[in-house]
Amino acid sequence: MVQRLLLTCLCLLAGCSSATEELAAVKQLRSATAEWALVNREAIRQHLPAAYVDGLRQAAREEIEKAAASLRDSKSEAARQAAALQALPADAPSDLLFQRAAALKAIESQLESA
Amino acid sequence: MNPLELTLGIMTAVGGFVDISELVFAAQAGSSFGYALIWVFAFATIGIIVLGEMSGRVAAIAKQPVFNLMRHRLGLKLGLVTLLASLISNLITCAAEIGGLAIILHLLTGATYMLMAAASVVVLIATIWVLRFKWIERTYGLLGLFMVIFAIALVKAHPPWADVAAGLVPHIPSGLSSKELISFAYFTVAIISAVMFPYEAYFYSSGAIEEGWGPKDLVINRLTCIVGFALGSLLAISILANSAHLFGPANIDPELPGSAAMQVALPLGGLGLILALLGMLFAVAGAAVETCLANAYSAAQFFGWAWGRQKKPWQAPRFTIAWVAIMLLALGIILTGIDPMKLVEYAVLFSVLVLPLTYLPLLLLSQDRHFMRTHRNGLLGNVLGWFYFVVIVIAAIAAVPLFILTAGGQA
Repeated sequence: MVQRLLLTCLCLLAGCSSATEELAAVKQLRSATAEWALVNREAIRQHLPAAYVDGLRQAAREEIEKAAASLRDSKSEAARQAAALQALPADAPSDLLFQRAAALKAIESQLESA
Repeated sequence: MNPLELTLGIMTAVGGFVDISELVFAAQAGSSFGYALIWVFAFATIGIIVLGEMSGRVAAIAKQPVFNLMRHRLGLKLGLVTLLASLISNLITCAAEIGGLAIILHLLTGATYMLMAAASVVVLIATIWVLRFKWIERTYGLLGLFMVIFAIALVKAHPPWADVAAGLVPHIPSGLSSKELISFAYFTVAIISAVMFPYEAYFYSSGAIEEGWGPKDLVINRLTCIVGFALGSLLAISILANSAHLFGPANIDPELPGSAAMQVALPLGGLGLILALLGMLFAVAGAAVETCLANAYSAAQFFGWAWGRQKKPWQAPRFTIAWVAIMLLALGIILTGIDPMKLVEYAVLFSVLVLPLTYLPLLLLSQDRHFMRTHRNGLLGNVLGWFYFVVIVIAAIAAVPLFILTAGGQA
């Protein structure tokens, strides 16, 4: 009886932990995408220093790569968004990136309410 | 009291207040919870004012730095445990600061991160070696005043001031899910830890002894802590408020220190961005120096070695070897390729665990009639001191479960 209870607790914890990891990965994807979008928009508007723009773009793309690698289901909507983002060039249009960030925010909200 | 000395002391405290963890957590707190966590910064700032003033006063009157007290008040075994925990916590913090420095330099120059980490450490070691204590403190503290650009950016960005002011009133936002509530609690603990980092007490009290403080310096001590820390905290609050106003609506949870600089670029353009990066650079460099020296001070005071930057490096050889070794160890940690932002999370976690052991002996000695005579704590000092001690004990107990439940604030 005690063993079964312990096993149930462990399963619940494991399930909770993997759901938390999935949510964290989607959050990371959404935030990095929005940050990338902002950098690309402001790089044109404000003529920001090239080293700064390149550095933040690189950091955002690395974050996206890391988050994509930690997604469990490679066929999920989040994974599809991540793959599409990874295919974009560093100076991708900010509008497109903001759209992707909004789509990821919707996925995140679904996961949070689940 | 020399007004110039006082002004410089206050300005140094303002410029030296913000470090990498405050940069990261203030920006993330603002984007995640709007202005709702401003009160936590204000609350923790009162705590560091109370305990910082106490550590300066004890150093000036009893001539006892914090780690000396620990050994005598906690006993050898518990003192040794505290020493080890503090050394680890400060080392992680120092490594995080060096990682932050390397990121900022990478964003300023485009040079590689690892190269910038190594170059930063060479420059930091050279400045500690060459400069006297007062000038180490002043150089980084005063140059850190470039951080004022974050407050200017906030004014220029025209946030909803009524909401900013409402954030100063202690509250938990309504309508949060249970996950969000846990995340809110995690940020509360992390901000308290980041503002009240133990290295600040070690460095401040050791610095007071380095500068030969006595009873005549108690006014400077009090004013530096109250005005300097309060104004420094306003800079951290500006980062939070900018983030709430500019990043939250854009769905950005800024994880890199470089992202925080973007909040200045939005209202002030490219020049503002460069000033923000410079401010962050010097503030973080100052914190790297403080954490490194705090570790060397702690070890030297605990084991009774000759110590101090007022002495020539060869007059305090074990102290000198200790701070150089700590700086190189911190660089070694960064060169392993570990994410410096992960280090920031671990630094905050470790620090909050060490906080009660740091401040307990200080509280005990600061009310000791034998050592402190007429300068012991008054009623207000005692009430506030013990109140904040209870707060940091609760924060220390809650820190690890909250860290696990939120995956370090990520979920």
